[in-house]
Amino acid sequence: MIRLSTFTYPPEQQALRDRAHRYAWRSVILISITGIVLYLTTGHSQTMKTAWVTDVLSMLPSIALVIALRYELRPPNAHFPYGHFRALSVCFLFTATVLLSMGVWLSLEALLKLLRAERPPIGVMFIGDASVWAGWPMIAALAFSMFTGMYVGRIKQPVAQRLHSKAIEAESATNRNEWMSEGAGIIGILLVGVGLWWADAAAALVISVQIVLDGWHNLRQVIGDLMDEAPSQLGKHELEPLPARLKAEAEQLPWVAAADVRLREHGHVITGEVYVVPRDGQDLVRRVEAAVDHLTRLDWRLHSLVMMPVSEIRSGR
Amino acid sequence: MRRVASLLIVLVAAGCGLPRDADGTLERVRGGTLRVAALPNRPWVVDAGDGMFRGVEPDLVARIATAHGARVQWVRMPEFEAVRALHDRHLDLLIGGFDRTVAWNAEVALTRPYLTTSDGKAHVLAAPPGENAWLVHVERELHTSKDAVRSALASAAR
Repeated sequence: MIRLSTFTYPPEQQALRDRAHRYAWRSVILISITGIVLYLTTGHSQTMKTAWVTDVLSMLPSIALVIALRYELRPPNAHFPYGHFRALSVCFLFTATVLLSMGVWLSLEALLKLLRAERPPIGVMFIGDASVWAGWPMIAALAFSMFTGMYVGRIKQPVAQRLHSKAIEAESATNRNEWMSEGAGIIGILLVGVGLWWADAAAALVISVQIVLDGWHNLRQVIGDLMDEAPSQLGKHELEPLPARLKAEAEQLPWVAAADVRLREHGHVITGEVYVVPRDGQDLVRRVEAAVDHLTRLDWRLHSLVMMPVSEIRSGR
Repeated sequence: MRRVASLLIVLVAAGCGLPRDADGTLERVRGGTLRVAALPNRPWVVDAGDGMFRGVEPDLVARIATAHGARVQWVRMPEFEAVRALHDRHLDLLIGGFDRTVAWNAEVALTRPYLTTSDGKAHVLAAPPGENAWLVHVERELHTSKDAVRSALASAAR
């Protein structure tokens, strides 16, 4: 029984998945280090506080991915007969919600500071007996965090594309977007340095809006997943041509008069139904089984494809 | 590479003057008057009764004033008004033996602690918020005065 067997990745995709798992861990470790460095330099600056929060939050998608990958391939059981592929969606729903709510909270805080004209005190920091303006270590910490984010974001991009993984793409995008937050932070601190007190809260506002956008983007994507959206292209709104390809392939079978297909993304895998109108009822069971095996091989992500013989295709869509 | 190097040189050159005050406190204090509100709190701030103050923190204020060629103008007002005046930059310093957990610490710019006593209190002065050049100068002066503070306290205890 091939169709009810548990899903296994082809060797190439399995290797990519292992790489994604390693990269997620590497991100968590590197971002923890930048988080500590940022925390140590934060002081009373709203910009630094916000940058620190975004830095720590940018770890969430990686943590979510590590957790999801643990559950994703658990075999179906009595409680979860469709398997655990949606673990990815669940983790990303959580991440997106956290990003969105933290972003909103931080932007309100920054806005309030701006309206109340609160001026950020940034004094000196002593390294041994030498003293520097504390703004410089802040800028150095932000730059460090920026390059770390860009590095962990970049290494994951090709993996996301080759694995066609929205989860990894979202993780990578969150890391890559860090450059904007840290960049805004650096400019903010420099402007405070030249005596523009409002730059601190303004930069914090820019960063928190960035978090909100990031959360919103992730939320829309995961809601698409949970609403059984048809497979769509990575990072874009356009649909994939896969359902049309499957339909064409099914219609080319000599015993099929007409066919229709609906597919949905289930985490990394794609499931769905193929409706066919057979020309005659001869040897139908064997034909359907052979056809499902054939169609499933068209794309490695196809899993648990169901073929249903019907008397006619009603185009209700 | 040369472009990066020249950019770095520009940044460092521009950066040497940082930070600057949002409202020019340092410029005004230099060679001018240093407006300080003092809240009596023995042994940190002691009202001498002749319009002057003595104690650990007035000594620190005197050092800061000397370093900037400024004359100290002592101001007497209740705590809540002093905090408000400092926040609105009508004062340049507020002293009273505070530690950094003081309730209004977000309203002002507390300096780095100049002394941590055996009861765990980290003693600070308060400056106007956002006047970062001034804050940096005060904190540097406090740092160089650390030993003087300790010996002054030791001789006061004897």
